[in-house]
Amino acid sequence: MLRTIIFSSVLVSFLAIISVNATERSATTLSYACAGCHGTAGVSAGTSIPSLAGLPSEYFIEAMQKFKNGKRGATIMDRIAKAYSNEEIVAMAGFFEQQTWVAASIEVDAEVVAQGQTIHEDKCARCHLAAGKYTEYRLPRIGGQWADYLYFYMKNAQIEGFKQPQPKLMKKSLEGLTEAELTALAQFYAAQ
Amino acid sequence: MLNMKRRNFIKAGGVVAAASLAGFPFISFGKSTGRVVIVGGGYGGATAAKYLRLADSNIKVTLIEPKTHYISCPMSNEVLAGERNISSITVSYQALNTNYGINLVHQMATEIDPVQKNVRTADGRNFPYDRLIVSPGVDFRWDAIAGYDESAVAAMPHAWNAGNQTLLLRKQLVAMEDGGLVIIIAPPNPFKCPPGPYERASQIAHYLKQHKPKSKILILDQKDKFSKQGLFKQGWKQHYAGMIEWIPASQDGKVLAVHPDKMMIETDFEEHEGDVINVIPPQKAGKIAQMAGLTDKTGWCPVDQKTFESTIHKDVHIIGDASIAGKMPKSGYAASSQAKVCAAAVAALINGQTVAEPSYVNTCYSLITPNHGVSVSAIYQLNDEGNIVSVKGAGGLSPMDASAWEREQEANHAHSWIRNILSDSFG
Ligand SMILES: Cc1cc2nc3c(=O)[nH]c(=O)nc-3n(C[C@H](O)[C@H](O)[C@H](O)COP(=O)(O)OP(=O)(O)OC[C@H]3O[C@@H](n4cnc5c(N)ncnc54)[C@H](O)[C@@H]3O)c2cc1C
Ligand code: HEC
Ligand code: HEC
Repeated sequence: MLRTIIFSSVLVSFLAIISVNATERSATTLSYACAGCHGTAGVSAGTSIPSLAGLPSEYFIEAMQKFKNGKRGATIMDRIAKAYSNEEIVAMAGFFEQQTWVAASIEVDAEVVAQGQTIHEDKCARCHLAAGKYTEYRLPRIGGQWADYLYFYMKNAQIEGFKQPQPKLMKKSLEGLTEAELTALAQFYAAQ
Repeated sequence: MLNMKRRNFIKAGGVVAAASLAGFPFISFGKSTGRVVIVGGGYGGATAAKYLRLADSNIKVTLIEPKTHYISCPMSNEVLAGERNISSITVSYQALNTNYGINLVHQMATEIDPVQKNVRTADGRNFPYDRLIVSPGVDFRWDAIAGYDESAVAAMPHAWNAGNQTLLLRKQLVAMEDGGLVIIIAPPNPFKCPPGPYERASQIAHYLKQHKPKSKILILDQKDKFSKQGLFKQGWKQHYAGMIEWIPASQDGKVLAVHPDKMMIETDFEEHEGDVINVIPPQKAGKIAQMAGLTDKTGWCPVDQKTFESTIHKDVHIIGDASIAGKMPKSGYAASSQAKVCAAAVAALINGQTVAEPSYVNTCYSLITPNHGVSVSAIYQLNDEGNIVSVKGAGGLSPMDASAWEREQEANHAHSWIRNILSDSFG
């Protein structure tokens, strides 16, 4: 109850700023329309489309801007992001940040997960803290995200010329990892 | 400025209510005790019911729908291919009651009285409303093709409403011998799911290629071009070369009559005999919309495209396939997107608020094989004339030069989409 009240008061002041920027379409109106693919309130039920609930707004804005400007490779988000103004992207970022993260529920193979954990600790843990559950600013949460989505992201990140945003160190960490190893990583994170 | 604050307050209400999904109690900002009745629990009606309660939990929502389970048309083409069990696209309405307190009435609505503002159901009960939302889907024009009446569907299924008709068509495909001919009659515009007949041809071809590779598919089209045509033709060439033949209306695709007893189709110059014949008839708004006088001479329902209120009867809103929604196609995604816009408008109108500026989205995925998906997407807004138009410079088709790996990702996204749209609408 307390949390709900805080949520709404934060949002009211947030939206007041947006309104000055003449966003006519409200954050909820805009964001509800994404739910057919990303799930109600950004909690995805599909294995390859990511949950958006609780994403840091900085990361969300950055991701949408990159889709919009052709700086992030995509199967569909590039086409979708182009429809929204910068103000509208900021408004949606506020909406999704306020939603509660729900971890993916998938069946995993304990052995594969353990294998993924070893690679994670070796190559990824320095940035993706707390088994990938840590999120701040421009670092997205990957612990509890859907495995297929994570797998696609990593696989695309290995393809030369596919614009998948990643720090240089992440690119280096992913280099040479086999499909089986990527699967293990994806399962490890999804299980968090 | 005061006014502005009030509007923000309402916007915030929507957000908080959405959070109630994660276990928060309903918080209501409106003081209304309005009664909204919804006729038809498809993608349109079910979504409208849920999002109305999220917008204002003081509104009493009654959903009138004869079936206790909804069977999704989207992905039903995979059932034809044997790639999916129909139970995987069958959902109960119960969650709408349990999670959102929607009153479920499993009856057929038989009469709408827009003057008395009352809906009657087949069991003789009355449901008075302050506002009514009608989402009855499509009805077939049974008088459009000579020989194709309601008794013909046993021999020549339409399978354009998912359920027994889907299973019947599947059974016929399984029973057909290798080397057989499957004929699909594709309908004229506008109709439910513009890429649907061509996805269907693809899915049937996928099944035949594995089990009956000498068989062929003939599409007799009542028009000269179709949705995602380039992408479909590319996929057919790649996976089903020589198997699918498409005949446009202007090249003798136009059907004059069907003969279910002889399993034969007449066009201007030919008689085609088929082993399996799938007739997708021309369409119009669902029967109850016609009976209530909500349709115009096109057979569809004209609406104010901002609120989806009928331009014929006050306080009655029509969404989904039955409505005339500007440039939006008749799809499940479109119906659910319209439902959210309509729910917000109805909640605002009941509370005496201004109706917010709408935003609408549509995406249709089609599966050419289980690993080859393609899509078309658009984001819509209202123009100055009050018509729904797509936002320029955005949306569009999957690229023609996408890699096999990208097609595979899109096939996965199609499967994620069905899970999300079903849970967003019914869960
Ligand atoms: C083969 C096929 C594939 C498709 N694939 C896709 C796809 O991939 N993506 C996509 O977005 N769309 C797809 N569609 C389109 C989608 O199914 C429709 O656009 C969508 O169902 C429209 O929703 P609706 O609410 O308008 O109507 P419907 O979903 O048809 O629901 C209407 C409901 O109203 C009820 N009803 C009717 N009359 C009454 C009455 N008098 N009283 C009470 N209840 C009544 C019916 O029982 C029904 O449940 C596909 C369609 C087909 C046929
Ligand atoms: C047709 C389905 C579809 C719709 C509609 C859709 N998305 Fe997406 N979204 C995807 C897919 C698929 C991806 C993965 C990238 C890709 O392949 O395009 C994605 C990725 C994203 C990401 C990246 C998340 C991350 O962790 O990096 C964001 C942000 C996002 N979408 C926001 C939105 C918003 C906001 C909307 C509504 C305006 C929206 N999406 C509508 C399918 C969709
Ligand atoms: C140097 C720090 C760093 C390292 C090391 C690193 N990452 Fe990342 N990772 C990031 C950042 C930052 C992003 C966000 C990228 C962006 O959008 O610019 C990211 C994004 C991702 C994403 C996409 C998440 C989403 O929601 O779209 C995945 C998946 C991922 N990383 C996996 C890995 C894996 C697996 C490893 C180890 C093999 C790894 N990362 C190593 C910093 C790192």
